[in-house]
Amino acid sequence: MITKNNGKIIGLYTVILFVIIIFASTIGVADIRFNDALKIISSRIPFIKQFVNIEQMKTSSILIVLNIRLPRIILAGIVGIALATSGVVFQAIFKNPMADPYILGISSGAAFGATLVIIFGISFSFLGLSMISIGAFLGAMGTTFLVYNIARLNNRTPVITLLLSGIAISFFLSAFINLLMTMNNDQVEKIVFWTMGSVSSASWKSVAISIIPVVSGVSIFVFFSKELNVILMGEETAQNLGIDVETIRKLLLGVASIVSAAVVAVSGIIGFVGLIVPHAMRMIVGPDHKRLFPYTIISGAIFMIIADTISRIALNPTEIPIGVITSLIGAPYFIFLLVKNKKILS
Amino acid sequence: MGQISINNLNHSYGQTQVLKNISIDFKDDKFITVVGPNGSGKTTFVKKLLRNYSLNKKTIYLDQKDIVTYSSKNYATKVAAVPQNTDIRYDFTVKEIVLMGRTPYVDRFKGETSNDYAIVNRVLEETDLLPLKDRSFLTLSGGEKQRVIIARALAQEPEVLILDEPINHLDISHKVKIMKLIKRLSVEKEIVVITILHDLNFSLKYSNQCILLKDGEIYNNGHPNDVLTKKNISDVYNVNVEILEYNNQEKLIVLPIS
Repeated sequence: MITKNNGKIIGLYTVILFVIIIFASTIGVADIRFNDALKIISSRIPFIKQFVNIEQMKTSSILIVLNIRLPRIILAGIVGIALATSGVVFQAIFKNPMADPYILGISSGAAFGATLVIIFGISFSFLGLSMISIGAFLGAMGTTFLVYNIARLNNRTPVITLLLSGIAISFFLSAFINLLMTMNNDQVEKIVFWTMGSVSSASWKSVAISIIPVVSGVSIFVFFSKELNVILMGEETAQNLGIDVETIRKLLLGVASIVSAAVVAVSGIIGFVGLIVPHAMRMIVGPDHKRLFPYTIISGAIFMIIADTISRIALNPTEIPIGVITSLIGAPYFIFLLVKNKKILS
Repeated sequence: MGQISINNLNHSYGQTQVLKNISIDFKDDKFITVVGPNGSGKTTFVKKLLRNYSLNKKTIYLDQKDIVTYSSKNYATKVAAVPQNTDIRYDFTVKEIVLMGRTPYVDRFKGETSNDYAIVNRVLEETDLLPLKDRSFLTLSGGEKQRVIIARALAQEPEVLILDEPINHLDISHKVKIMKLIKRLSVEKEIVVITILHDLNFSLKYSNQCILLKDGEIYNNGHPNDVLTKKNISDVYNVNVEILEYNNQEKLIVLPIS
């Protein structure tokens, strides 16, 4: 377990993330060298940009890196951060290793919202967001709200009831989506592709819109690191240590739901990230959220950026849905960690 | 300090009433044991004291103040708990878990102060845990785990320490060790100890007040020598025991197997 030199390791890890971002921006049909990508990206970073001169570089290279590849890479990173950190929060609050950001019905709710928009062919945009994104976000939030209220009993929400009502609503909505697809054969492909997830439609606008809820939400998670640690000791113990468990749970579930719904709305349903990145990080750095969050943030971003890069180049010119890649590379790595930690876990 | 007074305490799970009109004052007694058969309401009783279950106003008072009026944080600086189930599945070190006992004192923006660390070190020493402070909780034995949880409660610097069967699944040597530790703390630090016990002999040996519960009611209450009599035990537990005297009239309950 990593405990010493925490700050240095996180600093190094951040540098690795930056190198991966630059490397990912060199990959694609147009050939761009690492040094050039580094210069182009540095030319947009405050304080550093005065030392960088990109005047003699091809305009097309600059445009490809800054306007096509970089927003997509950054959006992938944001999606990874949002899903991985929400996963940490859901797993801590439910004290359940199977919990992930989709456990309260966010995925099926988002899919349901998106499906309705696709089928009814509503197409207008608001603040640069497509109607599908808005439908997905509203569907996700509505479903979470419904699940929470089904489970609520005398101002308390027993964890097990919450999980079961989440599962029940998810099945119900999935069945409904299947019914809608059966009745609207012509739209099936569009719906299926949306649900498999992609960040290919990324733009600086979608980055700007999703970064606000994600950055504020993740800051709130980090702010409550100590409380999350104590909640891992058990609900009653946390109460006996002076923590208002019910209020904190309501707040963090609400924030985690908004954060997840915000990225699902722009990227579709990308599975596995929110489940395994938190687990992998807990195995490597331990359960203390003060350590766990920084590592999860960087790892979530790196994992999604790599997955997205593979998804756009592996079967060029066809894009593989990113959810396929996250599971294909995530599952074996996770199994490796499981086998390695089997003795400690049992 | 640490004076508890209970006035007409009730609790029901659905239709079943598990605590019935419990009224009692803890005066100067520093070591109180709660005994009674399974299902007599012992755990519900202490969970009410800990505010884990909802509570009516004007039922329980701590230092003349209604406990529902304390803030969660403030109450955690007065009353600490060692729960029945101390299972922690997460890989925290002993020191990290004991430091969590400082939670109600720690300012969110300042974090733990040197004072908090000093207190953690002191309680680790008091509970003989200093050599284990960097060990993972998951690797400890049952007796060691119990000591860590007690140390965490002590780090809260409470006036009242509530324990739910702290020696239940320990071997006899660890049972004695834990009971001696709790007794010593109650005397030296003047903490009021309220503990549920199954083993009546420990109640005789260590406590100066014993509450005998039967079907959610106080069947008898007073000095353990007066409460844990042949007749009371037979009435409440439905078993016939013998009570022996040894060393200067210390009492020992034995259960003849017939």
